[in-house]
Amino acid sequence: MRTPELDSTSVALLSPGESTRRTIWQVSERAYEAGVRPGQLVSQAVSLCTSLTLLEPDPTHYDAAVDTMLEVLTELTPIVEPAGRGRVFLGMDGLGRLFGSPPRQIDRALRLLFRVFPSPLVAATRAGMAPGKFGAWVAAASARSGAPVIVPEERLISFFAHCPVGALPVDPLVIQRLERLDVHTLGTLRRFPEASLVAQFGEEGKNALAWATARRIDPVRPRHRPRPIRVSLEFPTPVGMTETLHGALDRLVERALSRPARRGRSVTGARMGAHLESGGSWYVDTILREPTSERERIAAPLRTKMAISPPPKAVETLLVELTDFGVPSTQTGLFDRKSTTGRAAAGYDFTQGDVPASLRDAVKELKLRLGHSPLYRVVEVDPWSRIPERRHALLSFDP
Amino acid sequence: MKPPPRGHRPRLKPLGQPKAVVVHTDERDEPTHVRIPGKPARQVAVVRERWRIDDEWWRQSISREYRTIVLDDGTVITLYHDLTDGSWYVQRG
Repeated sequence: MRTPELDSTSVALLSPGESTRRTIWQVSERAYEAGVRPGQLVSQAVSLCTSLTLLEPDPTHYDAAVDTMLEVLTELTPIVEPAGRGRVFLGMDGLGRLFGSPPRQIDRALRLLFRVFPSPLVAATRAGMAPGKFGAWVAAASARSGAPVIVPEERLISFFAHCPVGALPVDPLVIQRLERLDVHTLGTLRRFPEASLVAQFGEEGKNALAWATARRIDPVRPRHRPRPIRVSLEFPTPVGMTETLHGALDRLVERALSRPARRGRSVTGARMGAHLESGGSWYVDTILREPTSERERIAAPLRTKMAISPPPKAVETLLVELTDFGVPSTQTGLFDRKSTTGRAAAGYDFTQGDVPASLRDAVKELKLRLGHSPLYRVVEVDPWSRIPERRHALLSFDP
Repeated sequence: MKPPPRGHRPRLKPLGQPKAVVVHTDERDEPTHVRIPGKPARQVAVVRERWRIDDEWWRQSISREYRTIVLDDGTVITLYHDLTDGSWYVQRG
């Protein structure tokens, strides 16, 4: 939808990550009709659909869009549960008197999406309303764009009768076995006694029956995700050198750690991402072995992940996100440990985070007066570049 | 992963950015006079060194012919002739 002209063509997204044998990750409706399926090799997909347009994935953009969508939907209800890309559950219990009948509630939710997505995408959104997440999911899956399906509690069992067993959120092997046993719908599944389903499929069999008979109603669980701390750095020209990216990563982790929102908390998870030259994005995640507020302990695992799965193209913007936080760190804050005066600290490498309090105070005062920090530090961008303006740059100094 | 709005993103400010200058050349395309903005035109006394950079043909091609020159007042500057658009620049570094 970022490229509307693609709306009338067969499009497939390549799987994220660089590999010699790349596969298909997502396909458009037209490509699906031509037989292209996720997981196929590119050569297979192209042989099935010669007019197929292959695109690099942009996971950073998708995550940003999902985050914005979740934020917008919380205006409707505080109970919002993301369930993977493209699917979200909203808890609407008790909101009838506020927003009106179920069709009005759905309409209201879809209207909110116009603030995030282009209209054709909102128009293509399928919505369903039923008691519990499974019911709502099946209702949405059976709905057509623009015609939401609403299933009241008393009709839930009859609604499930013709629903294929493939809709059950159980192991695909269980579904395969059910189909081999000629059990294709939830209505057929319901006829079996619980004991025999448990004997055949264990816990999965019990759960499947509970969903099929509408005995199991899973409530929507609101996500409890701390607001991540995000920082980014835009390069004047796309950067491909690993050393340059490592240097920028250090600067960004320092900046993220110095954010007031981080103070008093240690970091347990971080993400490094990039917007790539000529479109697309890349990212790596890391869960830290122990909570920390030290730059090196956060940057080192990200560097290792980057070495394993490097960005496939030159980087235009580098992003760092502190995603998970732990208990307040017992360590001293990164910028709070020095009481050295500016004079005594002359010659210090401030990039190590040892910013003297006097300098910090001076910058704070200048920011109050001017609205921004007028101090910069010189950073190496690509010191061995043959092009002089690529070698060094100024980065705003704002401890 | 949501980046901050574009206007608020910190950006690296490259050092040693080239500045456009007016250069008069002779029939062999060698600079004879240089006028740096805000300063009077100077005659080129001697060309000390010369080198060429051709790079990034896959992106936006860079093709520059650099010269370190000494002006008639003794100032040493580095000039380059951008072979992609024919303009001249002075550059530090």
